[in-house]
Amino acid sequence: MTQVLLAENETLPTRRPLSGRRAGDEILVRDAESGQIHFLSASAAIIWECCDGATTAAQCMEKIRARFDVPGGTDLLADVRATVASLSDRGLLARA
Amino acid sequence: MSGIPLAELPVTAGGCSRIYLEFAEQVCWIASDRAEMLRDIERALPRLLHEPAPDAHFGLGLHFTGLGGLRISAFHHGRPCDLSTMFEGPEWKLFTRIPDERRRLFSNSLFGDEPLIEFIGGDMTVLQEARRDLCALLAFNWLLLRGERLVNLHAAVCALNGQAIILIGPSGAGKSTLAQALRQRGADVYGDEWAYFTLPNYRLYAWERPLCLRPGGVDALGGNRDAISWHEAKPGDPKWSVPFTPPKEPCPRDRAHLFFIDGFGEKPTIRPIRGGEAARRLVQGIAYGRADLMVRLEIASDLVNRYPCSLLTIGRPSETGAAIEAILGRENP
Repeated sequence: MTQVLLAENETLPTRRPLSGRRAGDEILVRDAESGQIHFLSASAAIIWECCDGATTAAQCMEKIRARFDVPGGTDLLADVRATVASLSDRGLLARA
Repeated sequence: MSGIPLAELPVTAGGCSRIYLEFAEQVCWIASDRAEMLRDIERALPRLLHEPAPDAHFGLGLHFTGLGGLRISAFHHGRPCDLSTMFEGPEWKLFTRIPDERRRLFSNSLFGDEPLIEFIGGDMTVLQEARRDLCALLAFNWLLLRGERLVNLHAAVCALNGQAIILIGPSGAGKSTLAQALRQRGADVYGDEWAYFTLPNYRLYAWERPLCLRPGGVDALGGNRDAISWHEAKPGDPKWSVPFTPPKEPCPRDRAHLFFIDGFGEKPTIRPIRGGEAARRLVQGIAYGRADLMVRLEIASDLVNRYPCSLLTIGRPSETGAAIEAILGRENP
């Protein structure tokens, strides 16, 4: 898996311009190039939407906290990094 | 045979006739060189009959070929269209091409290995007399979907208190038995085979037909299977066609709850499911005019965004019906 080193004040990488469709809280993303379809969970969908080239990791975490009851002690930044890495491995983010 | 292309036929001409049907906001026509076949369709689908409509731009031609064969031609905007493309989607997986260098023959796994259909040009010839009606109905369904203005689900459709209940599951999942249990609770029952939604507004239309119960379903409902006259549309799969009760109200068009049947249990359980899971389940039962999986997933996503979805484990039919009624009661207090 890709290693993502992302500080709270850093901007999330930019997503590729792929077509997405909501299904409840989840997002269905089609990668016409690879022919693959990805279902992003509700939390991954928030992070995906934050990959707009402007939102920082801290702002993304705020959005997640506003949507979910995040237990105290959760390393949310680590979760955001892991999801960004997963999105990158699936080819859903623009190459730097 | 009149020799006149069926697409150009007036309502009656040269021994050929055509009738018009309206279903799910679409008017189409069926023409045949045998008037009794059209009369059979009129008798079977009286609620769909429509007055002649010059703007009905698609239809089916039914020609008898002798020896019990039926040739089906499809027309769109006056031009023949290729019925052999109907097997492109996953919903046609029961049909299998029979290896033959010269002929395009297909069997259907439900009915054995014998050739059921032959395509000649874009026309479909039904080779088994006993399956003529079924194949004509499948061709009609394909023609409805081909315009990409409808999507079809394999589902039973009922309604209680103005809300449609859509029971989705494969053959044998318990859809018909549960629909009959809901009827016993006062629900209107529209059918147990096909539910259609118009695009892009997802209005519901049920294909009305009698419920067909298997012996296990009759047992579960406390019926007496010995007192019933069974028929086998598929060999080894006896069913009882429950006399059709015309619904008290038309099928609700825009209020529905989708229940995905997920097996049987001691007690019924119903739990809401997330959009992604519902869309993934839904796409398995969708039939549409294009085989493209993403397009189907997008349609499924739109449907689950519009209507609530639940996963249902069936317990005793009466208890399951009560559980469904309770869920709808909570949604519409």
